[in-house]
Amino acid sequence: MYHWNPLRKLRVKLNQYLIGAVCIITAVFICNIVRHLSNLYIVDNYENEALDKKTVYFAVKPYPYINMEFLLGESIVENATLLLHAKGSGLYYEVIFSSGKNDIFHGKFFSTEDFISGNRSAVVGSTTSYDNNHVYINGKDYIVKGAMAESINKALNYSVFFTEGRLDNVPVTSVFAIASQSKKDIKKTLERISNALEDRGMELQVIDYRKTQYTDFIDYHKQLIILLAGVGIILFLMNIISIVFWLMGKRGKERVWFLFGYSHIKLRLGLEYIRTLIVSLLIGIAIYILFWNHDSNVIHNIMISSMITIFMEMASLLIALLVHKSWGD
Amino acid sequence: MLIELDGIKKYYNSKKNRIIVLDGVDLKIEKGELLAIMGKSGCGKSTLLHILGGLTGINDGVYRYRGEKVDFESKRKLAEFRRNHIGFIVQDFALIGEKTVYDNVELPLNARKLPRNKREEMVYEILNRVGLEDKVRRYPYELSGGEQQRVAIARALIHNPQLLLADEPTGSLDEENQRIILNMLKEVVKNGTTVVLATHDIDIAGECDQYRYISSGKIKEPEKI
Repeated sequence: MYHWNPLRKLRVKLNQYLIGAVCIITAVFICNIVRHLSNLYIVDNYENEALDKKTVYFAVKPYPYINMEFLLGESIVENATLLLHAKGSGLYYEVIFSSGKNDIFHGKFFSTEDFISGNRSAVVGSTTSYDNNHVYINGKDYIVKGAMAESINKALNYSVFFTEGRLDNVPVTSVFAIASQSKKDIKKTLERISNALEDRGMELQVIDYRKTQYTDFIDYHKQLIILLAGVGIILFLMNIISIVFWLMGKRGKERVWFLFGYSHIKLRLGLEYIRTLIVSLLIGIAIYILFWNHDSNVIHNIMISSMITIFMEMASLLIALLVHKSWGD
Repeated sequence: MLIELDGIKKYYNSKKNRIIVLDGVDLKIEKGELLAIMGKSGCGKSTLLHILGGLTGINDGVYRYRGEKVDFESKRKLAEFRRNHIGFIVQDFALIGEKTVYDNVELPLNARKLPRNKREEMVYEILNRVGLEDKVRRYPYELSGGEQQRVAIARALIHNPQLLLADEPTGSLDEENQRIILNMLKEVVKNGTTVVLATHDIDIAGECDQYRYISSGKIKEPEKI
């Protein structure tokens, strides 16, 4: 019996479109799950005072306070920002010195005067709330010099960067941090500060500042992760069912292959599926980029999502092929 | 002698009992012969054809093809045997619906890794022989039953097999198309190919050079029917 099928002219059966659609849905869902978890992890890290992945942290020994006015005279901090990173301060960061060019604030707001004047001034994130050019941190009043442009990194939009203007009397009980857009500039600045401190009889010690541990992250977001794992399992089952259905539709073709002496029939089916998987994955990623590309680490997320999708699809294919009884088996 | 079957036994074990399909079949087939295998439904005609084509294994006996024992243990060797020596035609044509006539006919050549232009030449030549050269880009569902079976014959012959196995090739065709297909098979035999066809139709069997009858899992001579 002839079943009307407008897609037939494209030389694939309807169930081929079905597996393609399931692959696309899987790819888009996984991209979004990864994006959501990745954003949560970034926010968690901010809450745990880890500024970003590039930032380098260090401690200075042995004095309780140091005079860091030497930063004014020489080109030590270049295209970077030196912060004092107090534990438990949330999204508030004390800026010791900023070079003013191509650093995390793009040099727009703090001037050299702000670091030595003793006045309290602040630069706020794009969505940080403040009142009449004043922001209050731990009961202290800071004059807002400006607000940063909206960042794709959402946590940065809620941060406050402030300076006490005390370059001559910097406490070393907290951890220092060097932040910049460029890893190279961070490295150079770190080397120069280290040399300058050494010349003054002090020691700089780079520390591996604690980020959110994955186990803590899982523990903290247990319910959400269980929910997302449930979605993942449903997607996995959907894939297995659609592949089994697709394989059933291939019985006729398999029979012909078998009759005419084709070898490795299951492998051929697998390769045919992989072709569909690659096309579907690319379409899924394109849809994701089209609708959800407002992300700081979109490439990283796509790479992780692609790997998870491929792994899930290949596992589904393997299970479906194992239960599938091919001609000649 | 192209084929010699000696004491071929084939049975299936179910949970409770053993179903014997072929019970010591002896059969000799000469090269260039058109032989009909007759019998009632479920008597084992198709199973015998499947054994001849290396599609299914045997439980006992010996199958010699051109004097050489066929190795049923190796799937790879059986696939090679089918690829190089056998052509198949079945009652439901077994055409791939989403492929054109051209692609369906070309299929046995794809397993042989021939150059594209050579394959194209062979496809057009065989389609010309079966009178379907004008239907190259059509899909199976756009053809009549007789035309579909002609496509199946073209596909079965494209790699010049020495043995063509036809399982009820005219079973789903009207009388006119039955005649066309039968004449086509006779033409194939004239070109030196051996044809074994399974049928339950005595008129079709009567048109063949010889016929055998299967009953109770054994081959019976024509005079004993």
